[in-house]
Amino acid sequence: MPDSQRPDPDELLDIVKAESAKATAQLRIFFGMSAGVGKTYAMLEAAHEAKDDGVDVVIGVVETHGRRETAELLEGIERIPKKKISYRGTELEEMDLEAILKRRPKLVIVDELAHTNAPGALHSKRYQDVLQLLEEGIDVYTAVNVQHIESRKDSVEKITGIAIRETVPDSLIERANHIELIDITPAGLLKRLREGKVYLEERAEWAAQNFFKEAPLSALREIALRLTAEKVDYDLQDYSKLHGSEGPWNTNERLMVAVSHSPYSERLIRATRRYAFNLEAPWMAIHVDTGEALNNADQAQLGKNLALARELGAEVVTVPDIDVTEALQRVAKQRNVTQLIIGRPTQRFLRDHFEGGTVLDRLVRQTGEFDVHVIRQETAPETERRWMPEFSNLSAWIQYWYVLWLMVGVTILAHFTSGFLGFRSIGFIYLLAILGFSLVFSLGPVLFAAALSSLLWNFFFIPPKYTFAISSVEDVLLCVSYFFVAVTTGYLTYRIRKHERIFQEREERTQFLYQITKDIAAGGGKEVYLSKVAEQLSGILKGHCGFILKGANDKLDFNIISSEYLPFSEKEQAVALWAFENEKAAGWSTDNLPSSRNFYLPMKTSEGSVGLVVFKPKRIKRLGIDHENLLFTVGNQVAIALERESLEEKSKTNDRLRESEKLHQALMNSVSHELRTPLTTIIGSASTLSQEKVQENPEMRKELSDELVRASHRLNRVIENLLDMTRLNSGMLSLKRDWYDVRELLKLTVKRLQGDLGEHPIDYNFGEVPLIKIDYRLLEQVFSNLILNAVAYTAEKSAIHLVVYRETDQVVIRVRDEGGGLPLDALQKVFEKFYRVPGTKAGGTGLGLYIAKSLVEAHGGTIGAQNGGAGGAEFVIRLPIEPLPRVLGESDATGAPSTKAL
Amino acid sequence: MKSKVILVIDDESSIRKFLRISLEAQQFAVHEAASGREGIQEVVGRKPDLIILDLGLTDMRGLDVITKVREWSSVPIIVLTVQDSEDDKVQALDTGADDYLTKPFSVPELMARIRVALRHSQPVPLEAVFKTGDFEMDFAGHIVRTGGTEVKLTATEFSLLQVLVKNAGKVVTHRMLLKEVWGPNSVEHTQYLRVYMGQIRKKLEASEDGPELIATEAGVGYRFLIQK
Repeated sequence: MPDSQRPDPDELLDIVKAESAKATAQLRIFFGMSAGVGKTYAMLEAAHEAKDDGVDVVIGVVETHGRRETAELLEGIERIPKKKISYRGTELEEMDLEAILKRRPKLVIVDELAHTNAPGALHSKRYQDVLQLLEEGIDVYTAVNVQHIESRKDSVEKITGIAIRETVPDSLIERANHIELIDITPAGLLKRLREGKVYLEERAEWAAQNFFKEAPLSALREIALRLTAEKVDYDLQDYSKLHGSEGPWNTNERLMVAVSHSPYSERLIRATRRYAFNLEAPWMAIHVDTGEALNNADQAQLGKNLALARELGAEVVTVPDIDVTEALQRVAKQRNVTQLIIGRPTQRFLRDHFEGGTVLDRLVRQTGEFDVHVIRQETAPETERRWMPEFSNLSAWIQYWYVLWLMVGVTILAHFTSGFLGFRSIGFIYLLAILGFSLVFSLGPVLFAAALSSLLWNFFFIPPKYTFAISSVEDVLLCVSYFFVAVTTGYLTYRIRKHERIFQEREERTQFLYQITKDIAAGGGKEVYLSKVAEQLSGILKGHCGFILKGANDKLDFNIISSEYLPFSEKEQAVALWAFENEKAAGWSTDNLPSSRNFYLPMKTSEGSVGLVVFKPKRIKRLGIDHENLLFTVGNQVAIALERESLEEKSKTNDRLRESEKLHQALMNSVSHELRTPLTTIIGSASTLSQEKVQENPEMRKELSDELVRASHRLNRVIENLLDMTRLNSGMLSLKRDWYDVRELLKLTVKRLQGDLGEHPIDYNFGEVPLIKIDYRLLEQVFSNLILNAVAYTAEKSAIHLVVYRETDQVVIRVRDEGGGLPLDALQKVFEKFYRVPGTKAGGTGLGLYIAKSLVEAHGGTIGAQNGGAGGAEFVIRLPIEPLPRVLGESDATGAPSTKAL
Repeated sequence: MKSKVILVIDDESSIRKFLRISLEAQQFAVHEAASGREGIQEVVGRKPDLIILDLGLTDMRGLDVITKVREWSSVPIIVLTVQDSEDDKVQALDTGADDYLTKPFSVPELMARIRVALRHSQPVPLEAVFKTGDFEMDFAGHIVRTGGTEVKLTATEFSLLQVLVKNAGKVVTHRMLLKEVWGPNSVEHTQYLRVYMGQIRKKLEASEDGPELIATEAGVGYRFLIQK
């Protein structure tokens, strides 16, 4: 297949997803040109059909509007009772989404898709309920009118003259598996209306006046038919892409729409989407942040615009730049945009001249790489709109007010200096003032001040004074050029300042992100860096930030990090859980559970959500675009860090497993030998004992039973060592310490080992030592391991030396043999698990010295190996001396005990 | 003479079997019980002279068996435990067991314990002087001799040794010793015992090669050994 015909993998993936979704949850939309065409009726009929086919159908919500035929159709299908939501004293009824999800039917009937839910419901719109139902794998039949389709809203408004408030995004139409157009001629509909089959009486009258006329109905019908055809076309395209048949879908076009905070941008976005759809081209929406301060309404509109673009499938990009034209050109070039869609720019006489024309002029003049489409716009509301923000922006008027009074002040000051300064120098005083203003005020007031100053200068100072007339031609020239210099200076300074501010903000953000990355990299555990990041975020945003992380059992752990400002009610927990489970932002300033006080943003990784970013706003109404972006970026950073941490944890676990496997192997090898040797002796001796010849001979019997006992002891020791090692490895070793005399312990150990010592004489050399606090049994294990080690590696009859003495605050115990000593490189390694000195005879688990070292260290002591003076190996144990608690004195005169009594 | 009856309570049949063989070889009559419940019934029915009880039973705790039996009987009980359960041993002894053995143990060891336990269970006239090997203790005269020479002991040392000697052959837990000598408020101060016991040993076992008189039972207590 030639390259140009090969489907884009991502696109294919989307199609496959849709295909597989089709196999799971089906969305069937009953679609009509207006109310009264019989959508609900058709939908209920279809529901009955499904029920007759054995499908588990329930009614989520159906509005009969008092129509009898429709009401009759409700019979025989289970209805989920509506949920009552009380809102400001009135009780509202909404579809009970939770109940449906709990009931888990195969198919649910949801009427009036465009409905807006009562505040306090899970989602603000009913179509969001539907989307969730589909996500949960439940089929949905729903009904909607053409006027509620987002992209057709404008046309319908124009045709009918009615403002439409409730809309459904076009993506729902695309999501639909079936679209059923309920078509009826306008004449037929009007007839039905007259017969009272549409709406209740009052509403019918009202509706008839505004909506139900033949001409608009025909127009609506056409839109509905076209939309349905478009959908069919769309499905066909998908089909041909999926099945690789030749299709008209190779395009190199890429569209970009410029979006501002104007409500007019919505039109641009919809238009662009239509073009993109027809061209089958990818499209993006760009917003250039010029640093202009937006009031709340504008901010909300901008957010809405960008959300709409995202909703309609655009890639949304926000770039900070004070020059819109330059930003558009730069991004267009970077992203290979072929067509740019912009609105008709508003004329701004002065500024446009400084900037070299309107955005449009410059775009058209300076670029040749892409087409520029200008979308028409109604002028009337726009011009009004243009000034609206200025009027509503109180601070701007206060600025004008300040500038006016400051100008008056400057004039008075200039008046005093006019005695000794010429009127021409006064022009410079004004100029200085303008320069100062442009550092503080926004552009409008600065230009106002520039104009005002030239008038004031002329009126008060340029002869003839107190008139606007100017006597000499020279002064006219001066005044006019002053005016231009003042305006230019003011404008340029303002621009530099603004530039600087944008730069500074960008710098701050970069700095912030850098700081976060640094904090995360600094480590110290996630609690530490998360609280640092939360603190910094709280500093930048107007509110408090925190993190909720996923706990051990894949559930949210509500121990919030940086929690002191984030009180957490049960309701908030539910919102957080919802956001976490659905991997969607929820709460304040979102469409999901907006009645919450906090904003929750899930932190997503390739393995699902790892937690939430929580933001509690302080006296702001909506989350700004840049702040949302910031939260999003930080959430991503943190998610990546957390994921990396969990991966590290996993790889550590794997290492541990591998280690334990290695251990296991070594254990099998060495231990099986150590276990089998005594077992062989036991079985052999025992079976020999039962032989008649042996039974008759008491000497042989004695020898064999002695051998049995010895082998059993040896076996027991191996088991002891294994148990100790297991305890050490599992960290379950607990010391039962008490006061003992190590000399006594050493003697006892030797006595216990008597049978194993063979003919090795033991040489004691004990000095005075105090009692020390030790675990008697474990230390006995240490000594017996060391002594047996000496026995095993030295010649018969060679002595074993046991030395005990005190060295300041330590008791030193030396166990020395008279063998050949240890190789130098083995001195450290002998204490490693399973280490055997190369070339030594078979036998031994390789655990004895490892256990000895671990146990001594558990006592807070040290053990070392060295080659003693006489050449033999010597093990030196040092155990700390602790002060002995006071011992009750004795009234008896024969001698008071002391702590050094031993 | 009628042979003594021993009841073995252990859920391991191999251990019961080997104990039966060894004990019957020593002319004891042996009864077996495979669980704690069965054991208690057997105690009621057979009226044994001694009980050998495994602390690690499956149906109920060995300690509970001791408590139950001690409600109405003072029959000697020897408990069998595993190496690293000092706490269990001490608890068993403090609950009323007479002695203990750590698995694995040898038969001569077991026989010695049984003999001591049986002897202590019989009412014998209190002797004024106790003798074993060349050790001699005169309770009335407050005199201790080894090899015929008198050993000077302090009052505390003497009363400590006296507790051990009166229980000769049996283990005496730290708690019991401390309670007897220093009173019930001092039962936690095991360091007293270390100090005094060290002094007593030093005085009694003058030479390195001499017989051991007092054995340390690690983590449990002390035992005054009877010389053969």
